[in-house]
Amino acid sequence: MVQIEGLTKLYADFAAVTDLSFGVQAGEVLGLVGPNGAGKTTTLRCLGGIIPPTKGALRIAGHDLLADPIEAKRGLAFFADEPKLFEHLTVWQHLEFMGRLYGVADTAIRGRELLERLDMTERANSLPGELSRGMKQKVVLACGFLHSPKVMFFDEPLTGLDPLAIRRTKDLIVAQARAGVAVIISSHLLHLLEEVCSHVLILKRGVKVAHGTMEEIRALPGVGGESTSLEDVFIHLVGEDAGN
Amino acid sequence: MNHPLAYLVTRSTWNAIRARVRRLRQPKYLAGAIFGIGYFYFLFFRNVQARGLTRRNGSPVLDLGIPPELAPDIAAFVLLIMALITCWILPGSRAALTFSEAEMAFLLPGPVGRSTLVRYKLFNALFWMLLPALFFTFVSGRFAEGARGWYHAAGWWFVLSTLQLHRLAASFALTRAFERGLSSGRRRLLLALGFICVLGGLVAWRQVAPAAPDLKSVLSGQALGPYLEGLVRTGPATWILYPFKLVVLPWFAPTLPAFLLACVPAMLLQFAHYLWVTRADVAFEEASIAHSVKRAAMLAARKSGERPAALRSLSARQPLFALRPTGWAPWALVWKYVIELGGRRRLLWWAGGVSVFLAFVAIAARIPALRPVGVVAVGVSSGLLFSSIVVFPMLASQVVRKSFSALEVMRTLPISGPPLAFGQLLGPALLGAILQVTALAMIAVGSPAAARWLTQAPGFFLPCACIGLLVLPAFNLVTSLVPVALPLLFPGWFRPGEAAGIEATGLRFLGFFGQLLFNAVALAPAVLVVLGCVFLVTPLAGPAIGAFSAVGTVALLLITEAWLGLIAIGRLIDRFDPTEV
Repeated sequence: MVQIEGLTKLYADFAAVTDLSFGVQAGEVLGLVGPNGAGKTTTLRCLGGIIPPTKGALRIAGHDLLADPIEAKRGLAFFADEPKLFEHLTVWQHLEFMGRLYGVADTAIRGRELLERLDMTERANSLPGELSRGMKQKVVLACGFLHSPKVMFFDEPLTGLDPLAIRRTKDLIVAQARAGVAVIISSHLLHLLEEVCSHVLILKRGVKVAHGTMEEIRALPGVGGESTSLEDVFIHLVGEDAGN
Repeated sequence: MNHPLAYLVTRSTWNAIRARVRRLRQPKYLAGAIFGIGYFYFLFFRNVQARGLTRRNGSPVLDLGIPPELAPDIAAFVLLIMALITCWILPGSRAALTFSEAEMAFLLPGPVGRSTLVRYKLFNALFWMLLPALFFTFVSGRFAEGARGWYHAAGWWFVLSTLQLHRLAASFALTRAFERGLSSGRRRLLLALGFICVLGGLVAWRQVAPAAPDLKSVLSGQALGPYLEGLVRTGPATWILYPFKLVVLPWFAPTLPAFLLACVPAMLLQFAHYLWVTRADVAFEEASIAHSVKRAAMLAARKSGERPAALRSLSARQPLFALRPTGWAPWALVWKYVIELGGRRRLLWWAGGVSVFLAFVAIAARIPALRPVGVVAVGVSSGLLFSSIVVFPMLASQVVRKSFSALEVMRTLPISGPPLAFGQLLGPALLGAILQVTALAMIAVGSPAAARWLTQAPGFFLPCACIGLLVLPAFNLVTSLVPVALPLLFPGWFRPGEAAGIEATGLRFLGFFGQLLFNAVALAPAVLVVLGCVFLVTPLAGPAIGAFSAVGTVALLLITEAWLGLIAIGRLIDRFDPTEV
């Protein structure tokens, strides 16, 4: 569903990501971890078609992101760390807008369903200024789910959420993966990734350090074995960069 | 335009207008709107609509004898210079379209092509150009000319929108050049060389062009017109200015047919620019994200009442004086304010610069040939002194609004409201006093009359000046009481970074007039004391006693008022609920 070959992103002379290759299949949840400045957000932004990569091939839902960006983007949803909404569009108008942007024929039905699932029905006519952060996050999720994407990218999805909202978001991500969506989550919350992710990719200074299922990562030489937590694995593999 | 984007623009605009109208239900916005509209109508539009930019007798402000038929050529020349500077010389970074944070979140990862995004931003920008076009036509009084006013408005739109399109196209072209290895410095060098070549050509052409008139004949209104006519109607200027003239011609059209005729080539030029912009497949995303993030940070900073991060120096600053670990706690707030002002190095540079300038003005005022320097310095300083009555309270209220965001932390400090208020306001009050003393010193050294008066009456001048130094901070504190008290009394009315608009402008004017009224009342006793001393004490006890008693009593009065005011402000801070902001 997501296939990356030799992704490199340079900012002038600085290499944010170097020769990164990996894939995520339908139903898999990949946790993208690494210390600050490891290239997680840059990778996600390249995958989301927000910034062009310097080198590499990216395929999203069967489409080449560079050659056919519109079709590739139709199959993905990108969730940034902060919920950013249009100041003068109501919640429902956000859904209408996204529906038209992605050509969702049954926007009205799906929109209502999503708002109901997210307990936002009563807020349909509210403007973003009248919503709490958690509610804004829900609007962003509803907008992202509306067009039934095959691939989802989450950049720090749980920042600033209360425990209940964290639980709900985790459940939503898992439910999406069970429904066959390929998910990539970038986060520093390693215990969350441990709960949600089927695979982990560890980056350090833009270079892949480890990639595989949780079991494969734990089985790496010198890591510590089956009972080792992801946090210990991470600290072992990333070393002194972990505190940056 | 792509359909969903049209939906976004129309819905957002409609909702914004509705929200604006709906908020007029709140008394503060209704009052602000009424006051703002009234203010603009009575003090601005009505006068300008009646006269335009002319003197009261109807004659133009400056008549240089330029024939009206030359105006399009001159406007074209101005446009050429503006396009050169703003589109080709000044821009240093890569092409960037500015997106809001929501646009970045929804449109960049969405199924929207690059050229669609460019068209969306372009049409948006061209649409909003209507506002300055209408505004410029309004303030220049052209709507008084009936239908011609609308031609002018459309003319403004053509000029502004073509310039905007050209700026975007130039930034795309420059980005292409950067991508091919042309650095900013090399581009400026190339432009400078090009400019020198053009200049050389013009100098060569000048051999055959008419001779430039002298300043006297220009001011007499006789020589400039024929000279300019000779310049723009002959040689290379004719064809260099031609495309720019096409852009400005709709502005000058006197009739509907002339306007429509002028619109055709202007629109063709716009269309050519449009093709240039939309067909340039330039990667603007990264620069746009960086630009938009910076803009969002600046807006957030403005909303919280702070200076935008981009304008702040990020280097560490040395304090002007050492802060002892024990002592009067509010002094720490003054210490912090001085660091925020710029730290030791910058303040010492300023002090040194001002001292050198003072010495220069003092010397210049005594040399007949340089006397205008003294006159200008005295004029500027008098203006600064007068404006400090308005500027200082603004500074003080800014400090208080800024501290709203930190008020929750400040409330946890072991300091009660009155000393907290004193600590917060003392820094700006002292800064204001230093500026006022500097302005007074500038007047004293720049004006021979003031210098003569000082040397004739040194006996009581120095003691009076010393007492006066006490008066100024107290005066600044008194004049700042209203702008500081208003946000504390009505926090909902004075939220930092509240939306702009005529209502917000009206609100600011309401606050300003309230402040003026309070200042008049607060300063009335001091004025009465001065008058009493001048007319009662001086005739009985002489000028020295009169002056001492006036300055002393005024100082006592203002210090008392400031002290009482600060206690009141402190109590307001103690009672203030930060959640109301």
